[in-house]
Amino acid sequence: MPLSKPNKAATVQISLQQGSLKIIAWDKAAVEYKAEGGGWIADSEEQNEVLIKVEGKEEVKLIVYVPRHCHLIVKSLKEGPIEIREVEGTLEVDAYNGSVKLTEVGGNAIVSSWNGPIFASFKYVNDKAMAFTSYEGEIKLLLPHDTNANILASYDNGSLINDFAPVKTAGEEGAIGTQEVEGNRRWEELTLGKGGPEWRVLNLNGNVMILKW
Amino acid sequence: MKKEANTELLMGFLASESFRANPELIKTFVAENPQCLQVWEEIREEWELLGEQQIEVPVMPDRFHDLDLQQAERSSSSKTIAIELPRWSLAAATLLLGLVVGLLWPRTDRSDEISQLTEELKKTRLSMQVLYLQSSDAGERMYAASLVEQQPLTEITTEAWLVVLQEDPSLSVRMAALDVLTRKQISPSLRKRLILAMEVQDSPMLRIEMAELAQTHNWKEAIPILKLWQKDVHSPLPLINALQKVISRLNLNV
Repeated sequence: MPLSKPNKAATVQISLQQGSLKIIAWDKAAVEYKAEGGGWIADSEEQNEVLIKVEGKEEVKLIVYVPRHCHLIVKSLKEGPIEIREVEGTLEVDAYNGSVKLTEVGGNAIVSSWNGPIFASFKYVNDKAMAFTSYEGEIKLLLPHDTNANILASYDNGSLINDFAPVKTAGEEGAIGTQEVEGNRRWEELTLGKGGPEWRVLNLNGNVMILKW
Repeated sequence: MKKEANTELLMGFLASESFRANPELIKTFVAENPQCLQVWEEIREEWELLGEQQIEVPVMPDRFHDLDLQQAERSSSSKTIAIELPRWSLAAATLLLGLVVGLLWPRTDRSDEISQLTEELKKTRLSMQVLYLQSSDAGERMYAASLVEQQPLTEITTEAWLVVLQEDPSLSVRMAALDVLTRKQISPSLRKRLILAMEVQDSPMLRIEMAELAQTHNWKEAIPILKLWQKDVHSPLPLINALQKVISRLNLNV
């Protein structure tokens, strides 16, 4: 599907019922996909808004090629891993059951997964907010060493591991306070570099790892 | 009277093209007053953000139309809100109005004009929260959550965040909305709205978070909703187990 406006950024929305999804950046002003398996696919392009929707209960293996710079909105409703490679822009991913892997991406990401680890390696980050939310599974971020951000991290049944700076535990100056009731959410504040946009990292069952390369 | 005449003269001056074309003129005035300079810097940063943002309103705008925002704080109601304000003019006009009126009036206490400018800054931040919540970019909607730290919730922004909690397509943004709404003390009216918002939640993660909230705050009236979630065939086992614990504890609490 060629873009109507090849010189402008595109928004690509992909939703999948069941199966694996791989999204790869390329340097063309077009979106193409290959699907293996059952189900039926509805696709459309209008004014650089691309929609690919996979319906049906059968498992599908979907590979999508998207312009390198674009706004991605991805939803996986049931089972299946999601992998995104080298795309740059705002990446919004909502997965249900399966890992989410962002490899050498750039920009910012808003990612959630019910059951499955989240791994994201960034070539660079922009100055927008980010969020990583998981019910079960490790959250691991690999960031440039000169990243500037303010991270609010909350994790149950796990720990926070980071390469950047000592963590300010709630109660210390500059940290977020706790609510002292059963079932409260404790947030810890981590400043990367000089500080910057707010990133929220929430893991209800697992570790949070913030590493630099 | 002298005050009205001065105000009229000042408004005419502010409306003139030569004033708007000369931001350096404002800087000269501002530099002479350190307190105004500080407030000026704050307003400048806020309006720079607005001036540089092109915020689109794809599917959300209708539900914000009921919000009672003053017309001056709302942009065009078309699909795209193009925030292209002249970088200095509105902030400059606001600040200079206060500053020059203060210069013309008897010099007693300037705290009134500082308060007025601070109020303007608060209103600007409130508008920014709602504007960012209307963005098609989830990153910008998340950014609105960070603005709440600087500006506590009002009736309007609480309403906006409740809409986000119920309708935002991004789970992470809805989780942030829940955190924003429940970070401070929950009023009885907010409690009712949060319980109503539970009815439309289909994400297991949000259901768990809201169930724990119900347990924390002893929302017995949420029990029927929790039981419905328990019976939902799509509910994963960890959610069902968590709901069972919460329902038992709520039933036990007197």
